[in-house]
Amino acid sequence: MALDRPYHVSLGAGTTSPANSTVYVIGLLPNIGWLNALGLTSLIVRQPCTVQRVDLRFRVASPGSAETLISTLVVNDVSTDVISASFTLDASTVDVSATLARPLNAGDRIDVAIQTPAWGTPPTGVDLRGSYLIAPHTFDNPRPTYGEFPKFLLRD
Amino acid sequence: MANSYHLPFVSGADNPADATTYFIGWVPSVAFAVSSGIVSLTLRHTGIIRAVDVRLLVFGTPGTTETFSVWLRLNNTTDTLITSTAQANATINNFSNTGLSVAVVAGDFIEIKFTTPTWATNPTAVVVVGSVLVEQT
Repeated sequence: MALDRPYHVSLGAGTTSPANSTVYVIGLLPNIGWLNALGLTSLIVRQPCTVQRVDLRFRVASPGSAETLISTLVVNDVSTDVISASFTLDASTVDVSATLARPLNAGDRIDVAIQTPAWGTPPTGVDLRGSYLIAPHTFDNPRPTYGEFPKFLLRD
Repeated sequence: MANSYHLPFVSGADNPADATTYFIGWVPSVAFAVSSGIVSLTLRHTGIIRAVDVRLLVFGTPGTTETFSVWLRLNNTTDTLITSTAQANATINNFSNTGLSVAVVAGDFIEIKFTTPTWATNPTAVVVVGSVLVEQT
């Protein structure tokens, strides 16, 4: 399976003071506080492709204690890939990222899930910006490289 | 569809009025625009728009079941229908058209356009979000 040039799709969530032991779902709504329902923030991909990377930047107005959170890539409402299993929101800026190789079919929906811990001191005023890096699959329209004949020109 | 990309769009929350035309692009902090060109997305590659997904989220009171149309608007000139049966009567209202073939060139701008019906009960706290799939040519 060949991959074409990847592109970024922005994601984010508005400012929230996250609750203890809650799963939030993050995606295409950078102006809305963190949501904990599926189906609201998804990006629907309309081509076969691979999620190659997810980058997240948390900005924390009032950092919390050092309990760890878990973030995952969610495909069609099911967590498929761990982005980070051990990040904290105990600093004013926290970057989380992962290199992935998650293939998607046309029509699949993707989100990012964040599982919060039971904090001693919860962080407050947290917003989130980031991106998916997505590479389209090229099998349905391969482009010839230099020196190679397009396949439809070749004869047996 | 080689060499294609998704272009997301999102609005701020708004309480849509009856029988009004709105435009959506990429200004997440601003409510629905009532004029074209304010929130539009400018394209920088020649290509073909192949699909549009629109999700109309109602965070307040869902509206009644009146239907309305949603279009892809190109250069504030040409409308391409995404659906003529949109509703805002649930929390999540998804509409899509994956059979599009709208040619674009560098410098073109696009928006999502919809004209609201005259609702018996208007939806409140509505956010429009989605994406456009553009194939580069």
